[in-house]
Amino acid sequence: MVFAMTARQQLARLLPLAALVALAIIGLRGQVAGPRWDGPLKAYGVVIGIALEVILGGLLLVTFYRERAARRDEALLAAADDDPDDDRDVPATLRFLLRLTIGTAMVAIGVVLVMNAHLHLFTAHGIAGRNLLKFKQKQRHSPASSHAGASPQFHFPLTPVLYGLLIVALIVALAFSIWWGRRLAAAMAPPEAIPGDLAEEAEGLREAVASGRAAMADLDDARAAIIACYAAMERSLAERGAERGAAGTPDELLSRAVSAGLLGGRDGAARTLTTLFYEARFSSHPLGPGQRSAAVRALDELAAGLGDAAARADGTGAAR
Amino acid sequence: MTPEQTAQAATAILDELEKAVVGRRRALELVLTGILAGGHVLLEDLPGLGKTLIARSFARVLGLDFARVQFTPDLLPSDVVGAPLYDQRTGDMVFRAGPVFTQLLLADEINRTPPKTQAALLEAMGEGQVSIDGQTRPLPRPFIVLATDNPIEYEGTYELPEAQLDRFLMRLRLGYLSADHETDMLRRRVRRATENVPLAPVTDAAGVMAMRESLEGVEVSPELLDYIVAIVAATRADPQVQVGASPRGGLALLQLSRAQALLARRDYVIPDDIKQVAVPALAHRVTLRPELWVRQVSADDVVGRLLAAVATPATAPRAAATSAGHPAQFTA
Repeated sequence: MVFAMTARQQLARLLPLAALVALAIIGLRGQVAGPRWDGPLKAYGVVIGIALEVILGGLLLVTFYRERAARRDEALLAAADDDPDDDRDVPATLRFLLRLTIGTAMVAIGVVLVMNAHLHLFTAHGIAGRNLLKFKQKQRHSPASSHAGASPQFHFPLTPVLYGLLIVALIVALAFSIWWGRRLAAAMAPPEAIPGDLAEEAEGLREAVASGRAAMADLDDARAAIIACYAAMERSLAERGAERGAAGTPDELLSRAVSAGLLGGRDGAARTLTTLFYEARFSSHPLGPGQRSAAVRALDELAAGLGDAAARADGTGAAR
Repeated sequence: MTPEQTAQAATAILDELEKAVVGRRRALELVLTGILAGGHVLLEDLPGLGKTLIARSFARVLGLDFARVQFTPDLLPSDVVGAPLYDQRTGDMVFRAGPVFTQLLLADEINRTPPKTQAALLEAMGEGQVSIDGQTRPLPRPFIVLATDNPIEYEGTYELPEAQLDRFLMRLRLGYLSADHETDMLRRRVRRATENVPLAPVTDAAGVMAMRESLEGVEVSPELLDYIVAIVAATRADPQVQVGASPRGGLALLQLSRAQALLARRDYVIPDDIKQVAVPALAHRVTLRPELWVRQVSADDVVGRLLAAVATPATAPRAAATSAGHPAQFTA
């Protein structure tokens, strides 16, 4: 999708287009009459061209700045918004098209400026033309050219060669663009989990839960014990990559852990522990041994679930 | 009424409402939180999405007196609050009460009337009374305004002033029904063969007042009060916001989160309650910078973004975290 492209990816797509425009202008130079400018401002063509380049360059910078601001906003909104179907790519596509148009116009104006600066680089009066003329003159004075049977004039097929080069350059630019785009996409793809790593991770989680239970055993107060149980679960989930985050809530963490399958199928135990934590943390209800033992049971069940997950990960790793 | 009894009554009310209003459980819950929190609710969405149906159904199920005012450009303040009339038989000036003297007032398309008439509701909504000819007349209790407005039409409409918007405890946007719910709505209409759905009152005015009073029994921990203040302060400091939420916004967020906790059958508030009601409670109290209109950034988006940035209370209570530094070593 266009809105997900980085600046380098956009550049990878912009380059071949710019090359195409430049090469098309150069290629058509010999066949199509160039734009004639006979108006009253014809003496200021170069100045106007440079001014246009400056204006377009400024606009391009502004669009890049707006793109960055929009990306920042979208990232923030995405963090707050759970709706994955929220479609925000239309303005991003329009911004990309605007940058593409401005970039293409800048390249085109630049090429026209260079070609009208009386350099005659690519015209019949230019370097190629001059070289061909010298080559022909040398042939005329060469003694070998007067031999019988040889062509009186050697005709070098310059135009087809130039067009061939144009086509080759375009193909190379396209191939480079595709290669670059794929390389960037591959770099952005999330790495796949390795079964061996999962087994080590699950072992770490079991240790985290065990340490939480050991710390909790020293606490006499039920409220503190329940909070300690929950903290152990939260730490173990953080080790699996599901961190609560400063602005997150325990319920949000639970939803993420359940949808990511991090709880080893013991979702009910995690939910019980979260509910008990809420009551212990945000109410002044008297909490008794019943709630404490419910929290311990939930934590034990979670530890067992994590053990099963570790065993499964070990089995998968061994099978491979 | 205990919080548990209130939660049971709220569930019964919502179940009854769902007989008439299909697929809007969350919206109904939010309106009920607004009513329990003692406020007025602004329903803002496109025509035909069930705003008026929701208001009428609430009046019926809550067993309240109901009046409806269709706001139009030529509506006068006296048409809303009432006016003194000359009684030819007695030769006295007699006050003729306007439709505002009711328990549940549906102010339909409130943005179609000029600010003068809109402002006539200000005192009624804010103070629960009306002052006419130097005499203050209290309104019936409870007094609830459910107002609707249409956000897409600009011709012949008058945007609600900030002062009036601030009087609403919450603003809700309903949105379209899902395809399944829409089919269910049509199926129900075919099955019952009549236009209106008969709804039975679940409670009455005294019951509503008792439910409101039970809200005061819902506990809010000091750290959650700080969290509410942090959210409100964030709306004032955000660079995209021109005018942030008022202190009244903080009070609204507090009461709505308590009502939300009651609906979840809890007598204590948790951070999720606050997050769930923050957008309806605050978005209409926030004025964005004008340039954001071009970028189609709404106040709902901004408040949602702030909720994703403002820190919730930590796992360990504040005192324990400072003394022990580790949740597992928490001591009470």
